[in-house]
Amino acid sequence: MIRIKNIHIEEFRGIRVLDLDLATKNFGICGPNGSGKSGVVDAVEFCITGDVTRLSGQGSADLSVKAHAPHVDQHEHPEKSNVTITADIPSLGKSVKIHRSVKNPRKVQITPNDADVKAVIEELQTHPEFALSRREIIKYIITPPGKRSEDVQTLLRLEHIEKLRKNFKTFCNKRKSEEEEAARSHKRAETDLKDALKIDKLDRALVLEKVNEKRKLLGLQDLTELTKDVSFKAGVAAQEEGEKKPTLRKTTAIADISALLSAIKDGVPPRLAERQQSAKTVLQKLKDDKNALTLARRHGFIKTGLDLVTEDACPLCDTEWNAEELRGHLRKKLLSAEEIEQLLGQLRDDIDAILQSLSWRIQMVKRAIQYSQGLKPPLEHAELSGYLTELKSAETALTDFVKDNNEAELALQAVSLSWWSPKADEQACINECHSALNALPDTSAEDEARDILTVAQERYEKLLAATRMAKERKARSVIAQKTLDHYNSTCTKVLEDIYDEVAQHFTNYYLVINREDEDEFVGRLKSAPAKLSFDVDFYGRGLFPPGAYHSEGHQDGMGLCLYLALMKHTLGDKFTFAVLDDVLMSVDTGHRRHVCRLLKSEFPNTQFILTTHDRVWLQYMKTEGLIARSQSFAGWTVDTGPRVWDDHDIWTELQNELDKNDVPTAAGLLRRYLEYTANILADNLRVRVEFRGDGHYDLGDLMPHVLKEWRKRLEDGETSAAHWKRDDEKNALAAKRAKAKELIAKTNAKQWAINPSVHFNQWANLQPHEFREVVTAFKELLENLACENPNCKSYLYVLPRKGKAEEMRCNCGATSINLKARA
Amino acid sequence: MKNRVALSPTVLKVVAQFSAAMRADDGIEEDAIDRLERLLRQGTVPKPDAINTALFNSPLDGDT
Repeated sequence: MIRIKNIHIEEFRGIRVLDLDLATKNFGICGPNGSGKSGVVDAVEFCITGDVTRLSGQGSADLSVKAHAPHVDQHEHPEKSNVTITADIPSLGKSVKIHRSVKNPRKVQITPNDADVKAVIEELQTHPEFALSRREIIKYIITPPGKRSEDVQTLLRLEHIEKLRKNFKTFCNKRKSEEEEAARSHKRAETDLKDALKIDKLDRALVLEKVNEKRKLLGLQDLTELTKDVSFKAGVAAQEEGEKKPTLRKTTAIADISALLSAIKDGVPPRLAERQQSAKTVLQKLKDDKNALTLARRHGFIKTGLDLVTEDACPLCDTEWNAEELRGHLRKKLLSAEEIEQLLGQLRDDIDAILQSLSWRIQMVKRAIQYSQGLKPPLEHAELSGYLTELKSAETALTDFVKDNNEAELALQAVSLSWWSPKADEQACINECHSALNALPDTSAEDEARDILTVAQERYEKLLAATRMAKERKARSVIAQKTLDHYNSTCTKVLEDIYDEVAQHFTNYYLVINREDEDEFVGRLKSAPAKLSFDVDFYGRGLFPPGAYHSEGHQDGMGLCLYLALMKHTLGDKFTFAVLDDVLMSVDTGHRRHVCRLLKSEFPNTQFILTTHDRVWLQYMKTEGLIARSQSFAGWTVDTGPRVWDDHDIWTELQNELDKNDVPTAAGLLRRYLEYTANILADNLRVRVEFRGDGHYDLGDLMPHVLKEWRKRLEDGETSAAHWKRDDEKNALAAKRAKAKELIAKTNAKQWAINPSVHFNQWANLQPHEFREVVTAFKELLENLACENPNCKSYLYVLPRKGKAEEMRCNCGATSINLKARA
Repeated sequence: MKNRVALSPTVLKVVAQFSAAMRADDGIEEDAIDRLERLLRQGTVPKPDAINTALFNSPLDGDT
């Protein structure tokens, strides 16, 4: 994975031209809604993956990267819309430049294009979840278990495991189907041998007895053993040279056709009729239940639907519904997986029995056709061929259904066919064949015996082959089933271990943020087929889904923690980079510092790019040392894109402008910086201001109160130091307060802050040397409010965040002013 | 030719444990398990026919 050094964006989304210097450190992007923050997130995602989730997700059917990723003024010139990222690859000790143009989103330029560098970028492309918005993160928390299972499995890269499971299942089904087909062939071969020898059961002694009976007629020695190499015809004189092999053998042929006619005359065997009826009922049930097989496949979808029906309106479109009625409707549609499995198992047995009879009938009709062709002159058999085609279609429909449970309609037609009794013209063909066979000249007993032995030998060899095939297919089917079973049990165990580990990490992370109010918190992920339930402790009252009782802010925190736990599991040490787009907007002030600490302490090797619309939140990230750099967007217009400025070296920037004698630019810069800083200081010092519902405070609303509060806090510090008889500290604070008073007077802050527009213009009208004095005064004043340690320089803040103020301190701890006058 | 990607640690873990379970089963030939494991460690999800070939037929070609 990578750590980003620089991002260069041109004509992309709402951005015209923007350069961000991250220097591989954590980075904050702050700006009000619509100021272009998410454009940066989109740009990073696009550059690495070629995609923009916002343009390809749900509800974006008419949107595309090529058409809508360029700035609106360049939507017909995608070649002008480009993003370039330079980054370090810590694992390789190399740097890389990644460039992508909207003109060809699938093509990425990687420099250097080394194989190892390329491999890292390609791997990164397979992890688009490195960039997530709040909406995407919260889905792990509040979605139904079925959807969560999919989302979590996708993030954990488990879809490979699920696809493999499906392929093992298909493989296993095919082997089972082959096993059944081989068993049917074996059964047919047995029947054929029995028919040839005119015996009712296949018994070794009985076969030998019948074979020896015929051999005796030919004056041949008895066979003593029925081995696989035995020859029923051993000793029978070989056919004379030039003598044509008979196309049919009267006795055997008559026996075959007689058996066929007899079966037809006796009607459908009761056992087969039962199987047909049973199969028909099940197939009809599946069909009547709005194609229940389809429903069975949509089992998870309907279950998800049931989970979603919790209130009296659709959670997506807010259309009102009667939840109870809708749930009842869904339940009616829902055939449980167990019920479907049971039905399909029963259906499979029924179809197997039907196929057994059907394949025997096919064989018999084939023989009737063969005998009809062998007679002289041959008999017309077009009707029989038609009958055969019909039987084969039914066989194909049933075997296909057994393989994949598709086309229930065709299977239903197949079991509903009255194929047992042929049509009149078909029956006439069979009768005619039977009569013609009977009309053939009688053969001698010796010839008949020779014919029977010859046919029995052929059928015995077929039976041996069918037995071998059936054994082999059964063995393969057993191995296939074992393979599937081993795979399923392995997956279950591995997934359970993973979910336990992820849940443990999630719990630990969540406790970092919320230990003060939920010290016994636990989270549990429980996997069940096609769903992943997620329950969390609620103040020791039991485990509940996160959306049940926890606030939105807590859910936001849970979303982040679960995401981090999943990423830690998925990427391990490779989790070096993440873009979190306004993911913690609902987390309250009291927990934000803990969030910063969580990211800092648990993920010290991950570069976070965090966007927020909340400047104070950004400041927390800074004071906690989570981010080293940031970029503030002051506003946005369609012509210019976001208006940006760096705050990490504002004084150098001001100096540069003044060196160019550009007072208006410098004046604007100072103005925006002071607006930004006043917000932070007001929060840090817990300043009381006139409340505004829209949360918008301008410089005049804040700065005078900030400076007043600052002196008040210093005065409180002096009082406390005097109380505790710490004279040196008291004197230092008094000096600092006197200095503050002097600097405030120098900036004339109170005066110009009253009317921003007037004073803004006044600054712009100053001469460079005059404005330089203003800049210097503010720089010194703000330094007065910050830690003096050059490695810290953070603005002081009051603790605790609520209640009686006890301490005013900096981020490094070098400055700590006691505000308590009494213990 | 399909793109192959490096298998995730989780998939590799499943493959390793699955292979071990197969090897502990006396009813399955060692050679067949070797072939199947090689197949599973490739970057793509093997098709049912490829699984069949690995388990029951000749060893796969080197590039499959």
